[in-house]
Amino acid sequence: MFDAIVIGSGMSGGIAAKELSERGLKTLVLERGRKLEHGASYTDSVLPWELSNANMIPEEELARDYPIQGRSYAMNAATQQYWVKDPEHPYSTPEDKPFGWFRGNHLGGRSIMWGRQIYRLSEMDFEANKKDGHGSDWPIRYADIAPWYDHVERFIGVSGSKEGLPQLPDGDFLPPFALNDAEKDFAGKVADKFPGRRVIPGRCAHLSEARPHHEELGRSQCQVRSLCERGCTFGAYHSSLSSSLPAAMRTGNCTIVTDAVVHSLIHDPKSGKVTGVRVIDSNTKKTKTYQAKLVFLCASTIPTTQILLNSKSEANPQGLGNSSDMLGRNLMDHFGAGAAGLYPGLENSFYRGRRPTGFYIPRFRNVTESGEFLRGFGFQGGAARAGWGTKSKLGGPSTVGAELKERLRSPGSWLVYLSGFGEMLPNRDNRITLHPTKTDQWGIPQAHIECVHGENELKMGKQMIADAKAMIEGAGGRVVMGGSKLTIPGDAIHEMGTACMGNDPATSVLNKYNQVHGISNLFVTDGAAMASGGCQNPSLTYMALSARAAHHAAEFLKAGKI
Amino acid sequence: MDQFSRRGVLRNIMLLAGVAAIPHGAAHALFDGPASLPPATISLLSAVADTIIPTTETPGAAEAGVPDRLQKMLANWATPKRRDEILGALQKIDGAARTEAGSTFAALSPADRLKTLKTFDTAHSGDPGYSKLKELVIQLYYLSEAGATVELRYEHNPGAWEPSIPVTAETRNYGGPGL
Repeated sequence: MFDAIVIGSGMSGGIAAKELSERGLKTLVLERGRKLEHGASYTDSVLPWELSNANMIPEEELARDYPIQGRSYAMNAATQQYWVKDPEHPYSTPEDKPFGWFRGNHLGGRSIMWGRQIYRLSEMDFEANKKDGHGSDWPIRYADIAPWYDHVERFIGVSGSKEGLPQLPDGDFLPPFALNDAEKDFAGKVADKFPGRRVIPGRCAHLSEARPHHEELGRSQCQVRSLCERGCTFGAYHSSLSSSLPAAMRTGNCTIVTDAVVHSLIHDPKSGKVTGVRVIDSNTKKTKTYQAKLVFLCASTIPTTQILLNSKSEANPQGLGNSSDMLGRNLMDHFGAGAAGLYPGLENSFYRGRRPTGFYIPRFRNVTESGEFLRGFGFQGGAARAGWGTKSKLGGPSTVGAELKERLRSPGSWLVYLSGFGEMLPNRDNRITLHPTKTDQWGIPQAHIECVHGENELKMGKQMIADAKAMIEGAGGRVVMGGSKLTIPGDAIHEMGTACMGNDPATSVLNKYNQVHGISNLFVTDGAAMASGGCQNPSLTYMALSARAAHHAAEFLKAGKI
Repeated sequence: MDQFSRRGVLRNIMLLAGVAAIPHGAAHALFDGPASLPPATISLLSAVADTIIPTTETPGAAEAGVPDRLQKMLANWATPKRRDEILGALQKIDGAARTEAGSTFAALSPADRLKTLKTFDTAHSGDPGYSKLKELVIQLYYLSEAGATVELRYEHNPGAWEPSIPVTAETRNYGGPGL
């Protein structure tokens, strides 16, 4: 018997495990995937000339095993081990409504190959649902989560600059990765032409400077390699393997079990509590039940809701926490489109190092400028000089020989690129259900995902593309690539919602402490909990919600309220 | 759970000291398998690769090991369609050499190879087989040790971000994967 079971070892589960263990709770972490070891399992020391097939996955294998995962920018031969083979982990969507679900099947989950961008939601984001009536009103406001943002940022280490922007609150940052000369130039011109828009250093979960509490965990300063998606032996970016799980383990209170696929939760109608977790060994297919005083669901958005829906009983025929019929609804992602342009001038400036971030343009639509849609978007981007790869594809007449070699030898023109991240409105018809007949290899009903962009997203997307182009051109660049198509749902790999927080049990699944309404010992603290998505990269908020909920869970347990 | 702490620190020190170690297990997945093409095709492939990126004051594609890598990619990476297209492009280049210079491409002097391939390159920039062949030669060259560290420069662990460095006549691009 454990005090707590945390289902999932990724971004949210790692922090939940750390916080619960540090509060003295005997904690079991259940991970469905295989074990990975920090350092030993990584491929970050493989040199360019040691990469197989120019770091590309064989074409037939890519088409057969990774039709979805292969779309991810972070998927290549050196990172192949971190992505599931799609046919082995099926889900279903309507034919005309594709949804991209990107994931791994290993200890640490997507915290190994995440994008590492860190942005706080603001008061505006927590008020949005109430203000425009879409989705369930967040039961918390910025002030409730701010101390937990502080807490998590300090622990994980966030590089960034203080900017004093109300729509993007500052934190306790490590030094920022400075903008390069073209980015500074771009930032100046954008500020001149578009008052209210800011180009700031991208905030990321990297140790631009390692503090003692990072070093105690074996983490060290970022070496500016941009090999992050291979896993970082320096532990320079936050992941469950480099940071949160080691912190949990050193308390002596945490146990990790891998290859443990959670089937469902056992609910006792008499006590109204969850009493156990049914697990299938992913290799032997043997079943087992684990028991604990409380359970944290951190399996990531889709599996978390899948587990709840699959936890059917006489008392809960629609699954656990679904008396409102809200479970599975309001599935969101971010959506995007972008543009890239040639940026003339500054030929005498270059840089050294492969910085693991770029710049960020915080939301300005419906903040400092109006928009013909609700909510808004931000841009991630950067400027860099064309290297050999880009130069060989861009510009100049085709050639071969010494002439080609000479051309690729020197740094090319500056390029500036902007990639938009827009907020999707919560929409009850964007929904996860269990497929009535299809199951996975463990006999668990497959997730059926139905999710489309609505009119607000399409309007916002048009503005996003227009604004990206206008900024590049306004700063003197020439647009060479301007996406006119929006990403399909899921492709931003920010899927969230489906077990949203709210004060009203009739319109939400979780209360303000991330407890499932009516089940005091069941907490959901991953992306599923999100009542709205903002336009900021969401991992920081998942971690802050996890830490906050763990604090309250431990208090409730002590007070005999669970 | 010792691996989280001590081993991590040790590896960090090794990496900081520039000791490159391929993680055990990872090495397996990353090395290429065997390859086999007829000798005449290998000569042709080598000659074409070394004409696309020739030896100058720095090594060319052949010295950098590109033909061997490319051969392995045809065996291990390419679909049959892709392989046929690339091998087809090689044969077209050889055909052009026979028509224009009356010899196989591989038997031509470096100057004549360049002349033939320049003409071919201009005429076939839209040919999927040739475009991919050229792209792969370029990629494999700048990812190779010679291409990345002798022709260009490469630091696996730069260690610091320097956002502004003046460009001089000597400034070269960075090798390895990247923009």
